[in-house]
Amino acid sequence: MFDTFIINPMANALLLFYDLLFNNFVLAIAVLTIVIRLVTLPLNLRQQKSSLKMQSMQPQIQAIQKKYKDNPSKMQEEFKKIGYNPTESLTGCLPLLIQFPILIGLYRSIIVILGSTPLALFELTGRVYDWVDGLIDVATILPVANKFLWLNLGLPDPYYILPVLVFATMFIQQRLMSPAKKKTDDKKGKQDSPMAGMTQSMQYTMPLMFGFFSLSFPSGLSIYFILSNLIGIGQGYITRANMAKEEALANEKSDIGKTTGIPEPEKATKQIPSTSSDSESYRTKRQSKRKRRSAKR
Amino acid sequence: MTRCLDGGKLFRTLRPVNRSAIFLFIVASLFITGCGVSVANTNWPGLSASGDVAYVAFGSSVIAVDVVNQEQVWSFPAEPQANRQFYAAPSVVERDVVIGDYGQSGGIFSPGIKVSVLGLEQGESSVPSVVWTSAESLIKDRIIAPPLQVGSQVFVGTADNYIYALDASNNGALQWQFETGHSIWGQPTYEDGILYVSSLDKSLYALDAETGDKLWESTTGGSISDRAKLDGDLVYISSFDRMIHAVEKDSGDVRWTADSEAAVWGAPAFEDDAVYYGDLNGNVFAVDAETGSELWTKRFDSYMVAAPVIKDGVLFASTAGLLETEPALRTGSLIALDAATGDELWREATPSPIFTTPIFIQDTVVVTYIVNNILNLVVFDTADGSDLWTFQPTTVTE
Repeated sequence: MFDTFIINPMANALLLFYDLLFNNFVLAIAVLTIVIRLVTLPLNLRQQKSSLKMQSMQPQIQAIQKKYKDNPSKMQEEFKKIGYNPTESLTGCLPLLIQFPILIGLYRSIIVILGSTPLALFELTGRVYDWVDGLIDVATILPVANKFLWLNLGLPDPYYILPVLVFATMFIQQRLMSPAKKKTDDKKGKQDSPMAGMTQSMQYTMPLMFGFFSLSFPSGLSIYFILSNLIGIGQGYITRANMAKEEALANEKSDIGKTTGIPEPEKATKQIPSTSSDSESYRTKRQSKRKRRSAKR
Repeated sequence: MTRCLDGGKLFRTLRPVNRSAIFLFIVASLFITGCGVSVANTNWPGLSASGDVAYVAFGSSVIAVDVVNQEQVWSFPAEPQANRQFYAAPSVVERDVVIGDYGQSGGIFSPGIKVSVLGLEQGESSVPSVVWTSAESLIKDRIIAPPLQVGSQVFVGTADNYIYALDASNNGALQWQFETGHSIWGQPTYEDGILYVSSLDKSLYALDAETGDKLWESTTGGSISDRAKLDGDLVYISSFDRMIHAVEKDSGDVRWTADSEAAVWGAPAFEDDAVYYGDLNGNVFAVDAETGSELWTKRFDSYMVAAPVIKDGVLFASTAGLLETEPALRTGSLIALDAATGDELWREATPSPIFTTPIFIQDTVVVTYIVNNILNLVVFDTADGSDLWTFQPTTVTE
C-alpha cells in the first residue's frame, strides 16, 4: 500500500523530472521538493499563523490557568471565550509529523531511483508506470547519474558538509516558523509557557536529529532536506514580513484613534508580535498605555 | 543569530527538561542510524568456477564448494561480520583468489565506506590466507563487478565509476586507474594487451592494459551492465537500449546491431558462429555472429536478468519470475534449449528467481538463488535437468 500510493508515484515523478531536466538528478529532487512544499504549504502557513496567534494570547492564557488551576472545566470555558484551543499547541510539530510519511517515501524513492545495486535497479523497472515508460523510454535513462560535484548521491557525504547544512538550515527554518521567545518578569528568563518550552526544544532537537541522520543517509536525501529547509526559510521570511505589515497597519489605525482622542477598545489595540524587536515595541506600548491610564486616574 | 552559534552556552541555559529532550533525541538518532552506515547487501550472489569448485559470494562470506565431491572446501572470512559483505563473483586462477567487498562502514562519524580488494591464497586450511589487501582509501564505493586476474595484474571495476589496475605481486599496489561516467558492474575482458571495460555510462572502453590509456570508446544508447564478450575480430556487448552491439576490436566501430524487445541485461553467449542473448521480457534470441541476422526467437514471458550460457549445442537460460508478478511471489526456472533451433529440451523450476549467471562444472550446470535469505546452490545434470545436489552453505550470514 505504501509502495503503491507513496513510493511509486514519487519514483515516477522523479524519473519524469530527471528526463525533463537534462538528466540531472539533483534538479529532479529540487523540483519534486518544490512540488511537495507547495502541496503542504497551506498546512505550514496555517501552523505558523496559529503559533504566532497563540503567542499573542499567552498573557491571557496564563492568567486563566492561574485563576482556574483547580477548575479544569471552567478553565476550558474561559479558553473558549478568548478563542484558545489547547490542542493547537501541538501544531508546532504537526507539519513535520505529516511530512514524515512523505519524507520516508521520498527517501525510499531516491534509493530506488538511484538503483545503486543491480537488484535495486531491477526492482525499479517494476515500479515504472507504462505511460511514463512510453513517454521517456526509461530503459535508456537508467540508472540515473550518481555523481554531483564531490558527492556520490547514493552514499553519505564523506566531508560532513551536507550534515552541517542540514542542521543549519533546519535550525534557521525552525526559528523563523516559530513564535519569538517571550521573556517573563523572571530574572533568569525561565519560560513558564509549556508551548514555548516545547517549541524551544523542537528548535534544537529536530535539527540535531536530522543532522545526525544526514551523517549516514545517502547524500541525495540530504540534498532534499537542505532544499526543503531553504524553501521553508523563504516561506518563513515572507510570512513574517506579511504579518509585520499587518501589524504596522493595525498600529497606524491605533495611532489615528489616539490623536482624535477617541479611546480604542482594548481588543482593537492588541498587536501580534512577529519578531523579537516587535515584541519589545509591543511591550513598550502597553507600558505607556498603563501609565496613561494611571495618570488619568 | 550570533547567540545561536554559541552552542555550549545555549545548551547550559536551557531548562533541564529541554536538555533531556535533546539528549534523548541524540540517542534516538544514534539508535535509528545504527551507529553508522549500514551497507545493505540487497543483491543476488556472485558465482564463478575453477575446476570442480564453485565459488560463491553472498552476504558476509565467500565460500568454495567442491561440486563433484559435494562438500564445502572453505569459507572466508573465518569470522564473518554483518557490516562487511561480498557480492562480486570471485576471480580464481589456480590457488589465487581475488575478491572485492561491498564496503565496511566507518561508524557514524566516518560516513564514508571502506572498500577492499583482497588477494587470497587457497591451501589445505578451511580458511584461505590473505596475501594482500588494496589500499584503504583507494576505492570509494562497493565492488559489484567480478575482478579479473591477468598474470600479476588484477583489474577491478567499481561502483565509484573507476577501473583499477593493481599489482598482485606488490601487495595490491595501484598501477593505474581510469574513470568512466558511471558504475562498472561487468567484469572487464582481456585479450592481447587490451582491456575491454563496459560501464553503466553506456560505453565500452578499450584500454591499454599496461598503462590504462584509452584506445577507443564505443557508445550505445543504454547502460551496459555485464561484461563484453570477444570472438574473432568482434566485441559483443548487450545494452539497455534493447540491442546487442557487435563492434570492431581495433576501432570500436559498430559493425552490426541486433534488436530485442526490452533491455538486455546479461552478456551474450556464442558458439558455432551464432550469438545468443535474452532480454528483460523473457525473449531469447539467436543471431548470426557475422551479420546479426535473426536465426530464431523464443518467448518465455518471464524476467531474464542472468546471461544465457551455452555448452555443446545446448543453451541454458535462467528466469527470474513471470512478468507482472508481485516480487514476493516470483519463482524461477532453468531452461535448456537446442541452440540450433531454440526447441525446449527440459525445464526445471526453482522456488526463487535466478539472477546469477549459471556456471558449468564437468557435465553439470550450477545455479544459485536465495530462499528466505538462505543461499542455495543447486547442481543440475546438463543432459536431462535432474537435480543432482542442493547445497546450503553453513557459515553464510547477512
